[in-house]
Amino acid sequence: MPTPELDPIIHAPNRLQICALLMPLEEAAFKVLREELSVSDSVLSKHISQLVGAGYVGLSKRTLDGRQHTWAYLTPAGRHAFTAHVAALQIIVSHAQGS
Amino acid sequence: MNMTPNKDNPSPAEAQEALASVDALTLRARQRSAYSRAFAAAMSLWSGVLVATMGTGIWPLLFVGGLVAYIVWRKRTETWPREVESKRGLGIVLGLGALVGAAFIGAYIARVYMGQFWLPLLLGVVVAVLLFALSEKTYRALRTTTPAA
Repeated sequence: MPTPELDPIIHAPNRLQICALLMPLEEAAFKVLREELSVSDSVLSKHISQLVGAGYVGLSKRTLDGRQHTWAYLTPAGRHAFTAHVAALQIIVSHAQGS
Repeated sequence: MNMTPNKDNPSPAEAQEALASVDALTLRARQRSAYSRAFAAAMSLWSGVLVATMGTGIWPLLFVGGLVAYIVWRKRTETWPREVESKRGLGIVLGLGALVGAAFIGAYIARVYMGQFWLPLLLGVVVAVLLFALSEKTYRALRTTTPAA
């Protein structure tokens, strides 16, 4: 079984946190991600764009009360990549504890 | 998380910090997406009423009305949990589905073939109480759980 490797896209702290938030969810509104990460819209959009570009995150837009809102969700590829990245981090920690 | 990660070779401390961040945010997502008590109560009551009125003329109206309300509410919620994240979760969902399905069938048979009123009502109450109790248990567990230090 191949050893999990760190994913360079997910490894950035904000993107890792976005994936962590989305993992137990079907989807989350942008507002939720912004509040939990305590970042601005522009910073969040930048990181979301990179995750979308990698195929890890998908977006859906809905019009509510006359305004457009965006929801984000992890794609199957994103879930797989995040799981592998977390496994790689756990291996780093367990190796250090073992030695 | 205040670290500048070395993407090629993070230190064990950096990896540990990243994992702690993942755990904390995963928990936050679950807490944030837990059904509100009002929603859980409404869904439990709706389910119970559907069981209790199985086989009556009002059932289709209640079913469609509740479904429309659910769809509208669903589109507006900020987060939506994944119902099944593990085999245990799948087992719970399937088990609940089987129980509620049996209640529906039992209520229908009792009302349509046996002319009973009390059994569908009793089954409706049992289903409503069971579903609300389960959601309340999950709600309390999530609200009292804190990330590992």
